[in-house]
Amino acid sequence: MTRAIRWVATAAGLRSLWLACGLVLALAPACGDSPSASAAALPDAGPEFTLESDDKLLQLQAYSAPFQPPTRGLSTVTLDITNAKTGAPQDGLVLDAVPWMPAHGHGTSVTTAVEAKAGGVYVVSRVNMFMGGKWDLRLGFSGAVTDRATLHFSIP
Amino acid sequence: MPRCTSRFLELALGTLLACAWLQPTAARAQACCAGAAALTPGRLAPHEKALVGLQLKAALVLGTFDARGRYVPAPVRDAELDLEQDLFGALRVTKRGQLALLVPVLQARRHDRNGSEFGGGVGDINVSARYDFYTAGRSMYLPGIAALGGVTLPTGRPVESASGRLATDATGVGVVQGNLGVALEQLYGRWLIDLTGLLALRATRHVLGQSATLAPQWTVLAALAYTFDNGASLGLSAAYSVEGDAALGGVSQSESSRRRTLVTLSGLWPLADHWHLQAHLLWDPPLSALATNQPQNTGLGAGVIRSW
Repeated sequence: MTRAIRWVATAAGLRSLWLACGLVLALAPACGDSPSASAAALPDAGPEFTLESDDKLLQLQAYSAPFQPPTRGLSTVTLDITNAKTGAPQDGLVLDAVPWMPAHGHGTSVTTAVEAKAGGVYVVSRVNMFMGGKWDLRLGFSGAVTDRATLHFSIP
Repeated sequence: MPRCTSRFLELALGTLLACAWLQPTAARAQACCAGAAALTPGRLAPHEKALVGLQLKAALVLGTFDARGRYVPAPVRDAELDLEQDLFGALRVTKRGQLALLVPVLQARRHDRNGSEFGGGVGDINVSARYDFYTAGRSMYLPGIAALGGVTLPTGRPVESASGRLATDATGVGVVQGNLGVALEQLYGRWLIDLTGLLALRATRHVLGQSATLAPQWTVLAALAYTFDNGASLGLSAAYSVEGDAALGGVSQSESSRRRTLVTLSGLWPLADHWHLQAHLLWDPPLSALATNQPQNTGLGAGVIRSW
């Protein structure tokens, strides 16, 4: 029992650590811009989105950086993903992320980069929302779980 | 009652040209997301056989109408500058029918917190046709009636193929677009009233592993122009465009429908018998509820036309 509690605590700690690392890495390039605005706002603000995937197999929490909500330019979106049934961090996902401007019918010229961390944390960098307006980040999951989800952003 | 005396006809032609000038600005928008165009500045007056012209346009994108119609000003540093140079020509192919060709060259300057970029290139080339079933001014009760058609070819570079991160060299939509329309116009002394309806259809695009289709776009354009003694004209037009939700992979995307209201003030100045100088100011009024999912443009343009 004690061992189980310790394991859960360790897993949760690792997850938090990865999440923090992801956010710190994501925030690093923005230091020249406005470090106080981005770094100070995120811990208190919590996730920008909490949502279920389309088939309700996954639970997602999304954080954007260097600004939350994101502004025009390159952003990093950190996803904290759990299995919707068990509540456990969902590792082993292969993630495809495509920024898309639905009203204008186009994406971007920049391909996103996805890094899977332990503890169900995935960092999507180079999210290039270069125009003002409504943008979607379309997420496709394969590997351990096959599902889809879409994050909606409004860029001023 | 309108009558086509030679003096009246001379004045009316100027007005018609002024209206031809102000219409295309309503039908075009940013290069990456424009609707198709069945209207070009290369419209021939009834006595003309051909024309060529060049117009220069510049517009600032100062904000955006969001998906719910709220106007959101852009941060000052993120203002976008769009430039366009259009080379166009028109040829009369029958007594009532004419064909036009427009070759746009586009540039954009964008800036965001990660940097700035300037780029451009040849845009989507447009071919259009106009057939006048009945000419304005022949009857007090029956307006001039014309059928319009146009095809815009994907000769420009779509956003996904742009070389830079800010896609400033994206100059096209990436698919074939088609337009159909009807134009009604009537002359009352020195005044001309024009009412044009357009339908734009865009083909499905296969990009980034998915199929994307923009909904049909409907545009209504109303214009009023006045011709002065010297043949100069001044026109005011308003265009309202609306389209439904776009589809991605065959699935309708919520809150992706678009509306746009564009106001244009234009003028024409006769330089010589066959030369006209034209200019215009265009403006998307930055008032909520006049547009959705649309950049707000404020711009100006000028051009010259030589006709035969």
